[in-house]
Parts: sequence; structure tokens; C-alpha cells
Amino acid sequence: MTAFRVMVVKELRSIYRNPMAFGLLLFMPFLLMAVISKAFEPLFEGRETFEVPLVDLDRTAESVEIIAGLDALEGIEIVDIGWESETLSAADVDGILDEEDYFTLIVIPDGFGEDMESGREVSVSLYSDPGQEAYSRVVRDEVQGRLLIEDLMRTFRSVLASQTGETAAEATIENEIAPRVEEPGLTVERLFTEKRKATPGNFEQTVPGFALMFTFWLSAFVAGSIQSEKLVFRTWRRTIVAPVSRFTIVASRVLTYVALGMAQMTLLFVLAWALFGLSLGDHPYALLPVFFAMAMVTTAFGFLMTTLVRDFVTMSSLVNLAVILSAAAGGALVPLFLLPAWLRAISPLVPHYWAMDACQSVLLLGSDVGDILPEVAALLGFSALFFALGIWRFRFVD
Amino acid sequence: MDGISFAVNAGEIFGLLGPNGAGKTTAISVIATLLRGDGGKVCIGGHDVAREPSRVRQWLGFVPQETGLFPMMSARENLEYFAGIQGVRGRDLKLRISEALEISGLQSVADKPRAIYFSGGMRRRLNLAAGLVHRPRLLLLDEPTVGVDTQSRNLILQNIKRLAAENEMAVVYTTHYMEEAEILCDRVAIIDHGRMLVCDEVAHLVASASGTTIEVTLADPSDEFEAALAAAPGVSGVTRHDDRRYAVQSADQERGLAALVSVAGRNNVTFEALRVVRPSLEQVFLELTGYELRDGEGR
Repeated sequence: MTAFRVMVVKELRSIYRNPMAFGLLLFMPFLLMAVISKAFEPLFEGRETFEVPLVDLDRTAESVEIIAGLDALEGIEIVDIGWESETLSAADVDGILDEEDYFTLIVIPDGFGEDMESGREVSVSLYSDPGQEAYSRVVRDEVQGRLLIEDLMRTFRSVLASQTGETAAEATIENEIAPRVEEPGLTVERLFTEKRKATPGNFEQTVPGFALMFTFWLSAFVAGSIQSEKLVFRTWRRTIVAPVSRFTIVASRVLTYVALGMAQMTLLFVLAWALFGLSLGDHPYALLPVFFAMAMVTTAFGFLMTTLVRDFVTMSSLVNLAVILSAAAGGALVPLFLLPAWLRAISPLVPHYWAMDACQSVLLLGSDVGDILPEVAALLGFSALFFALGIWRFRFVD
Repeated sequence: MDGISFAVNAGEIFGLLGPNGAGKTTAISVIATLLRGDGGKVCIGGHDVAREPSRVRQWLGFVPQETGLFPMMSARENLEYFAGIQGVRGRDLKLRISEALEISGLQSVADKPRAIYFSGGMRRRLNLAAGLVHRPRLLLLDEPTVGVDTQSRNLILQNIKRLAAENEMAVVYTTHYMEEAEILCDRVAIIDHGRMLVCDEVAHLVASASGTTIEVTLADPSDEFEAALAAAPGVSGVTRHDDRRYAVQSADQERGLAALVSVAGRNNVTFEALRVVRPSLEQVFLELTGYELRDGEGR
């Protein structure tokens, strides 16, 4: 056995016997992918159906018609909750929203049909949870669109009736206008440009996000491995008085943790592909350079941390802080578009931003290795910086 | 360190003794290539430690003061690691590990998955085994028996003595336990404040110890007796250990005994017990380094 191999085996044994390792590096990210993906589902899957509750205080033919119109809209399923009272208070609204965990409530007010019949301005109320702006915006647009159609139909009917008589007007509307409203002769096709990234779905966000975030936690193991040998186990001095080069001592660790990081990310992506149906794009192998570069950043960062702090607890806290900050600012923890503008402005300063960009480019746009070289280069730049600082500060003998 | 110079031959056990802060661990660290001296020269097997550290390391076995082991690995895995980084491989590796386990008396627990659950004595024995698993030509032992039970200590000392003789292994041994050094070492150097005070064979040092101590227990002690004894010719000092026990120091054993008998007779004092204490390495050590406490002078 060469010294190099002996050292790699020792590192792997240490990780394998560490009760925290499996939980932190595999179980936690996988669990979060599953749970947070579910939570993010409505946010990303805009084309899926929203259940929207509705209270009809009017109960006229007009209100029934508008409800049917809303229900026919793609992406919205109207749930008439069968409100029997004549009025609806603010407390009633809160009660309805709380009961079924709805985010919005449509209320058709008393007098809606009468206003419509007489050509007056009509309105529908939309109550929304202020924390769910994205939902309410979608529902409001859909409702407004439907009301606009109803308003136009009413105008057509009125104009046609004055010109051709009511019977002929109804026939024209029924045979010519209504079918066009139900099946419009125009469609909006959703296309993606080559330059701009496609919007990720929930798994395209959470799988790379949590895999990259928890891989970075491997830096705590890198730092812990060196620190514990120096300060706790006291095996470091024994190792450096053996006839082994300093290069071998450092390189064996780097190789071990880079390989572990790559294996961790590969396993998480493969699990997500197998269990969640995540698409790995047209060139799944293009993910490997990203994994390699991210594992290098992680290892280099862990190495650097051992040179900055000499006590275990402070070092662990700093690594945890760095992992969360980098993941949050880089769009791994939550999607970039949810971040405030000032945070988005500094995102390129953290490794997770580049790694997320590269992963999502491979997953969503089918990018090949050549397309993600700038992102990989940025990650290798981070690792070179961290290694350079670490080597500059590292002391084999304290 | 200043002016420390000694040579250790193959098969010899050399003790490096000194109070806390004397420079023992610093000396060991320089020999082990961990520290670089700003002057002087250390050669091992003809290789200069400063110029050829990697060649020197091939000669070394190092047993640090703290147990330097991987707690999450078994005894066998620890030995595999320490032998492996010394370049031992193949059939030799298995043979050496088996030998080291036997020496340390850990065969029955060799494959228990975690050394963290070993007792203090077992860890110390494994610590020693890890330092000699590759059969080094020079074994550096930095206080290897601290906090060890009597049985483990006995096994450790016996094995060091046997291996040094059988394998022609030179041993540099630091310890605070003088009786251990007296039993184990062929020669010792006593150092203090970074300087070497003496370097000689243990027997010579003990023989050179000045004076004799006579321990006496009295049936009816008195202050008058103590004062008269202290003033008697041939007595250099009297130390009262408790109500009835005294230690009498004399430059000459016969004159000291005569003075003691004479003063006892004059004061009508009866002896309950009397013992002449043979000079020891500890006595030599204390004479050379003094009785002053050395708290907080450790590394």
C-alpha cells in the first residue's frame, strides 16, 4: 500500500464512521429536495390548476354565468363553497381562507347581476393573502380577463340588438362570437431564447440547489479532518514525521474530498432523476465538470478554514455560516427571482451562483460542456483563490 | 536549548530527564524533524536532520506524549495506517501488525471498530505499538507511560527493553518517573533550562550521589532531640516527616549513624525503626535540578 492510498483509505474510514456524515451529506439534502419541491410546486408550476374558492352573494343567472366562465379558464378551478348567508364579513373571509389553506377568495357581491343587466359598472372582489402576491396576481389577471370578455359580449349584444333586433343579435352572438370566445383563433406559444435561461421548475431548483448547498458542507469535514488530527487526536505530528512528502499529505485529502463531493452530487442527481423524474437535459455528463469544480471549491474552502481559526467550535460555526450565506445569495436555497435586488446584485460573488447557473443550464437548456465553461472557470477561480490563501497560511507544524 | 550533546548507540536506551520546561520535548521535536534548530547539528544514521529530513524520517519511530491515534478506527486499522505511511506493505504489513498487537497485548481487541472505547492503558499500549510497528532503528518515546496503570506500564517497559536488545533499536526516552528511567535506561542525560547538567550511565550517576539518608522512627520524639541531632557532627540536615519520623542527611553513612546513636542515648530516645536509604537517580535528579516547584513551565 502506498502512503497515498493509506491516507485516502483513512479519510474514507473517518467519514464512513462519522455518525453525522450520512445524515448531513445525503439524507438531509434528499429530504429537503422532496419537501421543499412540494412546497415550491405552485410557485414554479404555473400551468397547474389553482383551486380558488368563491362566494356568490348575488345568486343570479348572470353570476352563475360568470362563475361558469371562470371555471372554464385553464389553470383555475373554481370551488363554490356554497355560502348561505346574505352577507360576508372580513372575519368570514379569514375563516374561509384559514379553513382550507386557500390564498385567495373571489366574492361576487349582491347586485352583480342587476348591475350587469342594466349596463352599469360591475365589480368582483378578490381577497388575497398579502404573503402570496404571486398567486393573487395570477388569479386577478384571469378574473379580469373573464370579466372583460363578459363586458365585451354584453356590449356586442346591446349594439347588435339596436341594429338587427334581439333575435338576430342572439343568433349572431351564439353562432359567431361565442365560439370565438370559447376557442380563440390565437395562441401564445411559449418559446425560449438561446441566451436567456428558461425558468426552472420546482425540482430544477431544489435538486441542484440542495445538492450544491450540502456539498459545500463537506468543507466542514475537510477542515474538521485536519483540525482534529492537529488538535484533538494528535495524529498529525506522527504523520509528518513519517517519510511522506507534504504534497502527499495534502493531495491525498484533496483527492478524497473532491471525489466524495462529486459522488455526493452525482448520487443526489441520479436519485432525483429516478425518483422525482428530474430531466437531466440532453447532455447529463456536462454536469460532471460542474460537480468537479464545485467539489474543488468546497475542498479548498475547507482547507482555508483550517488556517483561519484554531478552535473547533468557532470553525464549525464559520463554515455553517458560509454555507448558508453562499447558498442563499447564490440562489441555491431559494430561487434567485425571489431574492431582493440588492442580494441579487452580489450573487456572482459566491460560488453557488455559478454552480446553480451551470447546473440549470444543463438541466433546462440541454447545454453541453462547452456552453458552461465560463461558469466552470469561475468555480475553478474560486477554488484557486481559496487554495492559494490556504497554502499561504497553512503551517504543517504549529 | 544550549550545549546539549549526546550520542545514542544501536540497541541502547537513552533517558532524557528534566523537570517541566527543561527542554526534553523540544529536543525530541528537533530529533524528530518537527522543529528546526537555529544552531548545532543532529545526525541520525549519518544523516543530518536539517539537511536530509526525509532520509532521517525513514529511521524514526515516534511515540508522542499525547496518545496520537484515530479514535474512530480499530487498533488494527490504526496500525495499518501508521505502518502504511512508513512504507510497510504486503506480507510484511500483516506480519508487523500482528507483532505489534502482540507486543501491546491488544490481539483480542484488534478489530473492535473504534479505539475510542479503549481504556487509558490500552490506548497507551496502542500508542507505543503505532510507533514501533515498522521496526524503526531509532525510537523516540516522549513520556509514553503518563497516566498508565501499573500492569500496562510494566508491559510497555519490558517490551521497550526487549525490542531494543533484539532489534538493535536505539531508544531515546523522556520521562518524569525516575524509577522508570533507573530500571530502563542504560544512560541518561539530565537537562534543565535547556542545558545539559549531566550525561552518564545510570549506575555511575547513582554511585556519585552525595551523602546518605537515614530514616528513623522514634517511640518518644522531642524537640530537644531534633535540635541536638541537627547540631551533631557528621549530620548535614534533619527533616521531620511527621510526629515520629525523621530523615537524617549525612555526607558519610558511618558518621551519620554514630551521631544518631550518640544523640539518642544522651536524650533517652528509643528507636522504633531505622533504615538507611540507598542513593537513587531521583536523589541525583533533585540535587542537580533543585527542589523548587516548576509549575507552568511545561511546553
